[in-house]
Amino acid sequence: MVGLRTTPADMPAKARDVGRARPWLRSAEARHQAWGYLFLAPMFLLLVVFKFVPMLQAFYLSLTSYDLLSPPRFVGLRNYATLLQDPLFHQSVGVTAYYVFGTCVLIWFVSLGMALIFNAPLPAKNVLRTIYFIPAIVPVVVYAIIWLFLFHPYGLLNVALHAIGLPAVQWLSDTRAVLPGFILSSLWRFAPYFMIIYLAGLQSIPLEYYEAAAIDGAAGAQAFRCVTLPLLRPTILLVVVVSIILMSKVFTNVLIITGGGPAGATRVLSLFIYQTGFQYFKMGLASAASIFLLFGTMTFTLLQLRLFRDDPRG
Amino acid sequence: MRCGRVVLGMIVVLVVCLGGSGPRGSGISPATGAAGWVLPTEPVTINEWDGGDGTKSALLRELIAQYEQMHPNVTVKFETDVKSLKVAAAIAAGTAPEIFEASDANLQKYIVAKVVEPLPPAAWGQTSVDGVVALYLPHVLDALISGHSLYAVPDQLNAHSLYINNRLFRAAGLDPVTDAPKTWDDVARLNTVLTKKQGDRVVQKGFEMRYVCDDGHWQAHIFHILVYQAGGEVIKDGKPAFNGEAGLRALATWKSLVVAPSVTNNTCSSPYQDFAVEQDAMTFAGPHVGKIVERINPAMQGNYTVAPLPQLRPDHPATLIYSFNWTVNTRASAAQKRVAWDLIHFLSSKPEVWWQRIQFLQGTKDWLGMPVARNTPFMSAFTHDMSVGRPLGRTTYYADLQTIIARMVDRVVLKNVDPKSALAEAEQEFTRASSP
Repeated sequence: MVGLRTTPADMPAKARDVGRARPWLRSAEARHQAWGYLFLAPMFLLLVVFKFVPMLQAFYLSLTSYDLLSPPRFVGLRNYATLLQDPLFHQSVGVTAYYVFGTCVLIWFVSLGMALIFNAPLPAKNVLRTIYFIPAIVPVVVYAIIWLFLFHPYGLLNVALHAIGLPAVQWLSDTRAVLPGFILSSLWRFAPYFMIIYLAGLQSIPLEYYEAAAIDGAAGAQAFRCVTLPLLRPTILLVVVVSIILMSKVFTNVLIITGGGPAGATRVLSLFIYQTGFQYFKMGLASAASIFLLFGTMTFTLLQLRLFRDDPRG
Repeated sequence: MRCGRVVLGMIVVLVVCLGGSGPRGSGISPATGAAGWVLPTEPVTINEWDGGDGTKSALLRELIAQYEQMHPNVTVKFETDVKSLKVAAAIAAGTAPEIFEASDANLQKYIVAKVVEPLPPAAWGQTSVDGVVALYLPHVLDALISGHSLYAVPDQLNAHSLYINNRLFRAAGLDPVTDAPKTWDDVARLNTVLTKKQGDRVVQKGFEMRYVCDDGHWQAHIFHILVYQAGGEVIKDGKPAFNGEAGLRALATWKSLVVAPSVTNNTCSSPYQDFAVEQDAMTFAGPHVGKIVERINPAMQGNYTVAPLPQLRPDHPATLIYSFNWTVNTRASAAQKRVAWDLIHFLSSKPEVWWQRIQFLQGTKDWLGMPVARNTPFMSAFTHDMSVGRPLGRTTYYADLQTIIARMVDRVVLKNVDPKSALAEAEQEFTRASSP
């Protein structure tokens, strides 16, 4: 436990004197820290055992050829080289990028818009908020089955299109329509969740700021631009980071609704990993793709943290 | 007196012989199964995992209970609805059961990895593998043999036949027996008569391939059938052999049969739904499907006819034969292996029970001579298709193969990609996937 030790140089002079006189754990501050680490320890242990060790294990597997049936065989970086040349992997990366950005950009704006609406004085606001939030709490399997029915050639979506005079769309068999369909379904499910986060951010902005802005002659769009957006910045960062991480891990609904088809048009990276590992039993290749997904998500997150970092010069 | 001593001596010799031929360190007794196959007398527990559904597991539980009654020292722990992924994970962890079900598609992988035990002919009362094979219809065990060893016997053996909805045929002025299609061209022609629309909405189809299951199971089956019928091979010596004239003909035939793939209520867990609810007038399926269809829609009882599967070249008929099989884990102890094979022999020696209860055929010759077989409707269609059946392409990369085939079919059927380039792309994909 590296963090437990505080070097004498870090301590104020008085504390240093006390430190000399008494063993380290006798100081109140040190005892306080020790308790803190003690309470953190179980969670830290869980993280190590169930997150970091499996991640290290996945990295090791990514350097092997392993089919579950025979012992792993070390192959160096060959799995990574195979992935780089694999058109299916390229297709999966493309599908994932399309899905993540298509869904996230829509979610950022739609959920912010809904939060602004629900933050304004509305009749029966709480009831409406609750109704709007329901898709976010529906179990993912139920959500997938609901959309399986909606996407049916004679399902509600096509009935609605027909009612407004538009031609029916083959949501599940047309390779051009299937991903926009998934983006639509993800928007239905996730926009309410992010709306709540935005709503919390909006409600934490003190009303005095708006009053001061109003005195200065800023109202409506100007107040939104000059007061709401800057103060909502940490919330926006949270929404952007969490939404990208969530969407890049999409799996269950794709598996249930299309299984990655038609013609691989919905085979997102997590499904590619699942199929490679658990259908074809190529654990090494699947692990390499997992490591790629991990680093891809981490890179985006760090990039966003940097982009949204508060400018120290104000 | 002298005679009594001789008899006593013979009994002693017999007991010593039986005792000496059993597994080391274990008491043994003659099996109730095959003559000469001796079983341990000490308590033995074996685990059996099966991939089947509720009806199959109910029957298996009954048969296992019978076996346990016959062998009070044997306990069988049975688990059902086990997927191949769980089996593979358990093999990796060293916790796989002594008996597990393996499809013929997965079996090659298990054989190569030496996780399944060769079947001992003595457990079937035979002196050689050929003796066991001779108990079955010709070629139905081909997919289960590697080298000179047989690694499993089927609990379910299927060859696809054509199921026809009598009511829909008659409503279109057709006779389900005399107008049953003999060729895929006939099927395409019947599609024009049997497909019905309300406005632009398809409400009834003649025949449609099955596109469900993300692993490409059905597409791979049909592609195999059409390639075999066109005189080709899907896999030869472990290498892709489908990119040729036969593959092209298979895809062209497939395209000629497409009606509206997205208009379906079939799912991977209920792949016969469209035929059962009378949306599709025809479908392809094995002998066990009649009862499934009747369970989904009781109105289908007596409302279907089974005919041999349509062909591309009726003078060279071919179809696919595939199976789900009992295998024994190489890691089982000697005593467990003896009991496991004896149990499998016991389970597979009741073809009449399997047929009467859940319409599973196991391909044994003696079954055809039983009264229950003679009284089974459409048995001639089933046996005809079994007799012209050929196994799936043999490769340890079958899981890759079937999804590659499904993607190829998707490209041709849904994206109108040129079949020639789709075949070439699939061949490349499989070569890449199967490179060690």
